[in-house]
Amino acid sequence: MRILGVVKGQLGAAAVLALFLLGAGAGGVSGQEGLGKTTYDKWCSGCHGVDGDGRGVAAEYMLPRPRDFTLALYQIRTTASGELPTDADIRRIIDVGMPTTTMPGWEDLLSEAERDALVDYLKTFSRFFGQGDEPQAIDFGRATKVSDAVLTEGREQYQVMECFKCHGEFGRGDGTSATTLEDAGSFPIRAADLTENWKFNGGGSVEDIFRRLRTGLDGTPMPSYQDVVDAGVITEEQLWSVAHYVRSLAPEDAPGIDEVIRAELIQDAALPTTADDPAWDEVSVSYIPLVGQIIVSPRWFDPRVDGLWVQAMHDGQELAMRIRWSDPSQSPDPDWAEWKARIIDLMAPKEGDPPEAGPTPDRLVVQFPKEVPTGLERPYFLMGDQRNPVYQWRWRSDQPGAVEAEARGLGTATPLPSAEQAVTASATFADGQWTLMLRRPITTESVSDLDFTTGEAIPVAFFAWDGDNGESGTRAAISSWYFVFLEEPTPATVFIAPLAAFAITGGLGLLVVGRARKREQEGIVTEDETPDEA
Amino acid sequence: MFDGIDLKKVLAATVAVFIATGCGGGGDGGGDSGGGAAAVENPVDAATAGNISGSIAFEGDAPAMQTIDMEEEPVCADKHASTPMTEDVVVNDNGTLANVFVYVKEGLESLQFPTPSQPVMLDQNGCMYRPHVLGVMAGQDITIKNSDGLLHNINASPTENRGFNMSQPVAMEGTRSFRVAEVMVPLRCDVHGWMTAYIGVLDHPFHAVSGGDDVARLACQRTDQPADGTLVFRPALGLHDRVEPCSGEHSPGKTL
Repeated sequence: MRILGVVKGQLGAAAVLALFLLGAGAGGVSGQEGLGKTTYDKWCSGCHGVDGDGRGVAAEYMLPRPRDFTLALYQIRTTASGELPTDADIRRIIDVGMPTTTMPGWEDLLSEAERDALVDYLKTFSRFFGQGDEPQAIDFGRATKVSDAVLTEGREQYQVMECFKCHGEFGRGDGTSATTLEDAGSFPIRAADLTENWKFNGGGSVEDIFRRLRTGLDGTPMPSYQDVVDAGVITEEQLWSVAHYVRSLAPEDAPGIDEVIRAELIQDAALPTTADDPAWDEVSVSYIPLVGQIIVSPRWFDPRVDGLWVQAMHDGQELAMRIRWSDPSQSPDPDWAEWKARIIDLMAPKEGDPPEAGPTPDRLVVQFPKEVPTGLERPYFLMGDQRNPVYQWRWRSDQPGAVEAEARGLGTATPLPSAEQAVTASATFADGQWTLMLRRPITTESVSDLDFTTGEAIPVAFFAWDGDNGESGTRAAISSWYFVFLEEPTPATVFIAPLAAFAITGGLGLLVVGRARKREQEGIVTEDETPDEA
Repeated sequence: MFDGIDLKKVLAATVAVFIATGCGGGGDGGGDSGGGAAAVENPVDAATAGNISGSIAFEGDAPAMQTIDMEEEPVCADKHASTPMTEDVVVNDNGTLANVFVYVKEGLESLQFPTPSQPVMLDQNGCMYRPHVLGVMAGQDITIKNSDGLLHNINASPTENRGFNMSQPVAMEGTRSFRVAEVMVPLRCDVHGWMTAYIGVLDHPFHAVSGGDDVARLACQRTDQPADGTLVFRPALGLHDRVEPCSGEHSPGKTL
């Protein structure tokens, strides 16, 4: 259920964006020239264009751009590289969408007849369909069994096939070639973050990954490895090992969305002093999904940071929070300068105010209300408003430490007086991942910040920017409000009560048993005496 | 074969000369070769065959090409005696333009030519495509070789044909072909973003690529009936069409 929840949540976000963008482009249904056309014109043309060329009115807000059906280039297929997809291939993507794009799944929104009709209609956009034989799905065989040896083999083949050049050593999409990747439309495209298999286009199972290795993803830089097998460079079994290894880079289960981040109470040890302290390995992790900020102009439709892994702990005196996220570069990184320029050229101009000039760092903000709300009402999640300000921890990759600030709306953050700054930061960047630890006393003398309290759900929200992706200001990735809950020390009554209950229960039990024995003895006497009485 | 610039055969039909640099866009109409009329197989008449040749002169200041940073690929860097440069526009020392694809554009629709059984070779060597521009016939095999022994992918993006995206992580070869005529099919290595190549796919064998010297020769029968040819510069220079007659005015050495 948790997995389903996440998938639905993520697709939901994509669907919201797609439908939001579709608003201007739907343009009404043009006639009744068939169910496929009417369905397409109503739901698909806003992005993919009336003529199927991927140039709908909403297309320029999207990256990757919507598919150009006239080229008949389909990423997710069961057919060989360069071949057309089967009907089932097209139908599957209509049903489940493409998680790393704005393409939502339509399984719950359109009828089966409508989705079937769409398959037929999409094919009419390209003359390639209808030429020659029907596309035939490849027989991919059965997945091999996974074991430590298989994963070791997969890791070795990952190196031999140099997958790291795009996907990075640890699969976070930070390879040296990732900065120049383009799709078939010459638009920049990211190397997949292999640690997030639940977002893979085409599915994240071992079987899905193997299919992508065999077929490639047409229209993207991801090639097919079929020739490598055919040439005897590696065996099909080794290719399965690569699939197993890639699968192993992601968590066993897709993360659930935790509403509450539990800050565990540490009583017998000191709080971690660094972001990579092993003590963090013992603390539970919450996943916080992020989406692009598309409410306040300039909006941002291409956020790089799409999720945070958050941990927290406290010792009754200080609260420590560790946040990790994938990011292919330590911004500003000159190797990504060209990428950044291209993203800005594509995504920024139509949104008015130009992005921040010059090198832009990575940034992260942790946000709380300025006061713990007594009811359900919280400040506006986009950094509050004039009436209800928020209190923030602000970190950026080009400066040491972090800054506490107050904000009354996006772009209004004002640092607290230096005498009241109490938050500290420790950050490391390695292998396409930031790891940031922030610490602050639970209570302070400042009247401008928030005094944390234990045993209470305190609202918390997050903002992230990837500077090398052209993000600054309102061009950010954002979360909604979540909660952080600082565990309370376990009261003595928690330990005493069970003992007392045990003692009472035991005492009562002995009493009952004693009385029963007494009655039994009395009963025996009575029985002995009864015959005489009778 | 495509390093050669001398085409020995001459056409027995009115033809047009099409001169295009490597990545000149714009298809030639594509589609299946032959047309509707009954095709004549291998119609070259040696008795009337001849040659045409021309220089591809570059006028003005040659644009500066960018240096390629191969620091991440020392195996490739070591194969270059000097700093490798991009090949968008290669102007020879004598002012002529290299990598110009020259072919007969029109006039052969009713003719049919056998597909060569010999494949053409496209090598990846020093993290560069060799050659940068080549021509093949539709259906003719292209052997794609990786001489570098490190990861290349060959991502072909045609519009008239189906593309492909082949991985070659080690020294190996693969074979592909294109079904119908298309000028030009761009190829790209996504691992090394500077690696590009262009393939002219034709339904006849009359094509050539200007090399490192100066001349591209093209089969073209002199005829009194003028036909049109087109000169197309690659996008790096801006796209320009230029009509040239394929007629008696085309004396050898004429600068187009």
